[in-house]
Amino acid sequence: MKRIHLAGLILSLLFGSMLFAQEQNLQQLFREGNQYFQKGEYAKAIESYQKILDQGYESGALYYNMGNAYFKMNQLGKARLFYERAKRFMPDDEALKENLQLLKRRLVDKIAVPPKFFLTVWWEGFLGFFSITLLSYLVVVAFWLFLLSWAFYLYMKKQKRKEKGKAFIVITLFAFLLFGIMLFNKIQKTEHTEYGVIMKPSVTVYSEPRKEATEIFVLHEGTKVQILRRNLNWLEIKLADGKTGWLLKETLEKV
Amino acid sequence: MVTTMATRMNGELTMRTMRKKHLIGLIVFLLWAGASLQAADINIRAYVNKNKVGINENFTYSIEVSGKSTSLPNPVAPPFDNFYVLSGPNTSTNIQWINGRLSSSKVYSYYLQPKKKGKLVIPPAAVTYKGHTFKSNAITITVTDQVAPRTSVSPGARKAPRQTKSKDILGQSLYLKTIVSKRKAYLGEQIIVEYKLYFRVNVRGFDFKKLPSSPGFWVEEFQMPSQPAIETEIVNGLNYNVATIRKIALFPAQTGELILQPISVIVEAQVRRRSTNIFDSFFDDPFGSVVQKVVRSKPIKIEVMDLPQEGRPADFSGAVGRYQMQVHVDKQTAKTNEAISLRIKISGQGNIKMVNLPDPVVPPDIEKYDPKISTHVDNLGETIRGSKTAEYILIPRMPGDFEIKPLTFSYFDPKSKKYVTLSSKPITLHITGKPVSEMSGAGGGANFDQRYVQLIGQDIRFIKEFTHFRRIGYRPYKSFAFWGLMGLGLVLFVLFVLFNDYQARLSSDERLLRSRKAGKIAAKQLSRARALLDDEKQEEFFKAVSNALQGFVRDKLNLELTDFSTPNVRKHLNERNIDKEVVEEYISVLEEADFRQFANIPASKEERQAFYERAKKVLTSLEKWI
Repeated sequence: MKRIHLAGLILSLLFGSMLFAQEQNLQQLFREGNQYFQKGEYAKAIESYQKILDQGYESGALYYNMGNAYFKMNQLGKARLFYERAKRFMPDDEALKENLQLLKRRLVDKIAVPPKFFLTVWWEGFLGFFSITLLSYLVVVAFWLFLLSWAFYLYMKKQKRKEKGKAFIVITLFAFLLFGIMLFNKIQKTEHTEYGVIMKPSVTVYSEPRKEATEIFVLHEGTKVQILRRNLNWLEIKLADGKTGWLLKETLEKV
Repeated sequence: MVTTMATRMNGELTMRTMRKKHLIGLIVFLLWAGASLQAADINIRAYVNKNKVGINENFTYSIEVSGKSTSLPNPVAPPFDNFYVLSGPNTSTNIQWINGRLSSSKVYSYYLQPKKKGKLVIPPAAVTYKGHTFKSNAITITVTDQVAPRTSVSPGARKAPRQTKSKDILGQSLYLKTIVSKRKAYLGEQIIVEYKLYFRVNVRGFDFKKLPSSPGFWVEEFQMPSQPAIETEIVNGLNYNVATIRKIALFPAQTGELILQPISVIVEAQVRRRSTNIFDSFFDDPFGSVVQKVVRSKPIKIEVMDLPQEGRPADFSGAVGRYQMQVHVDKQTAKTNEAISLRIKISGQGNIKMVNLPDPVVPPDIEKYDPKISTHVDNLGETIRGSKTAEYILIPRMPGDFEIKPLTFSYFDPKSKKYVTLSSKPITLHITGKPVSEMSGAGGGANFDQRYVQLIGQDIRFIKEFTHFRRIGYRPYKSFAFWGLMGLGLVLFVLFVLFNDYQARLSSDERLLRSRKAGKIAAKQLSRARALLDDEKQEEFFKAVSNALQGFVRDKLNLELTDFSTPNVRKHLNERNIDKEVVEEYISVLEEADFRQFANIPASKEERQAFYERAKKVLTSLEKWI
């Protein structure tokens, strides 16, 4: 019995130290990439960053830095792809927003986004402030506060004192529901809707998933599209202005 | 026989605009010199006056040895196995001084007649000079069955209009050739096109009939000398004079297959004829008759490739070729308000007119005026060269040390197929003097301008230096921690509710018991008071009544003794919706009991009896309510 405990202890220690070493290794690679970037060796910087991804780890800052390196190398398609990936981790990052805007101005395709209902704009802007991680924390905190305030109310009621904290229950319940809806909406928007970025300099979009179909329009490198469905090696895509069509799978990379 | 003489190879060419002086000189020179101006010490060439002959026709075969020496060796003629030598060798020697340089030539000519039909080859002739043997070119003669029509002077042919005949005469002895430096080029790459006139007759002049537009190209014309230089070249064994009459540089402006349209040139040639008719020859021009002929070049297909996408610098703006960049200021130290001139010069070969000069980034405290841009194109050399210069006037408004950032300029080098980025050195300016306000006109000295921070460049924001990594695909809302915390909260809450409920039930049981017992206790107290009715100690009686009344309500309402006061009791009782009269009665009985307990006012037995009855009545009516 004692032996098993000891083995367990050793195992967990080993595992812990391995995790720690892993983290150190990742940070080292990240620093290395940053140094290359600072020296202007962008290809090497990307190589270092890519190693982190190859080990199965990611972060918003990592994607952001990779986007920067590709931007400096004037590979706007790749840069857009990594910025969009970074955006999922840090939707409210000032630097990221600025760089994306600068990038969009250099792209060939300019897509006019039709005006939205002001409440939708407001809601999306509001959602933009929160990342999924933050919302997850907020949901947990609001849920706990709600349960605590409810418990407090019940306790007070039992004590036959004045019924205190009824308003607090309502407020926390409301907060919990709001954050819950926001999280759900956010997951719907980011995880369950697929986006892609055009990687080829010029891509023809067809009306049907075959080459003989009518050519509807042409997209250029760096344009972001929504992926609606797939058919063999064709994808149906939708632009921000509502145009839809089919294009070949390899012309696009998923965000 | 006649025309052979007429198209003798003594080529000469003059421009119409040429003065007479030049004309004579040129004729004298060309008549004899042929093509003796060679750089080598000795040169041997062989040529024929025609390379297509009839079986019974004769032609001239000449071997020319030329050099800088006066004593030229004699050439050794090749064996004429397939030919009859009708006459020869006929020798002619020519020595010349031109601009202090000696040149001489020796020509051996043979009249030959072929022995058989078909393609016959005259092997190279040779000459030995200073121990070396030099060989000439071999010549292929095509011998046909019929006699060539132009040699037979039939009466019918003579009646034909002279013009047609002359054209026939000129046939092969005058043509235009287009020489293109490359047929596959990059967008904007320089392509040199030369139009060469090949002729074996005396050319008096020429004129461009029309120069077609060249869609898809930007054309830069080379400046040609007023007298084209004449070289000789042997084509198919025939000696031709070659003059480059036009040279252009093409810069393709679009990709794909482009076609360079042909040009037409009107050439005026002199044909010396020996007519059988004595009168004809009498009226002929002493130099022969003048014939006009239009020669056309062939259309040229050029494939234009797009510049590679790979490695294209961000500041690339279409410059193709090879360039240098010079950036300099006329002075590095200046006072405020003193003009400094900044010159940016891009020079080199290529499409200089399409070059965009880099824009200098000047600190905002230095005013920059619009530049003066000048372009210079040099079209005399082998390729189009040139330079583009921008001159900026800078006026510093603040003292201090400033830096003009390095300028970059990118171009595509088609030779190495790579993009090249040139970068200048940063220029530091040292400005002395007092700060000058830009608006210092009306206000005078003290109004120093405040300015907003201006954006002078735009680039992406810098990378992030710190981060925390997570496994790819990790989502907080899918994690164990998230659902664990939620579940834990819920479980704890449920546990609390159960516990709270249990507690509540326990305490409520207690109260229930107390309120149930309240009646019994009160009855006990009252019976005690009744026992004391006859007793002398009236305080004891009133105390018992008071206790009974108080205890009943306290037990019923579950009140502590400390909470028991008249207003409090009234409030609690009123809350329970008890009849006001009953409540007031209760309170007044209770107060009287308390009062009598301590006031020591003697009360008769009847009075006590009545009070006891009253208290009992109140309690019974209260019991109905609670």
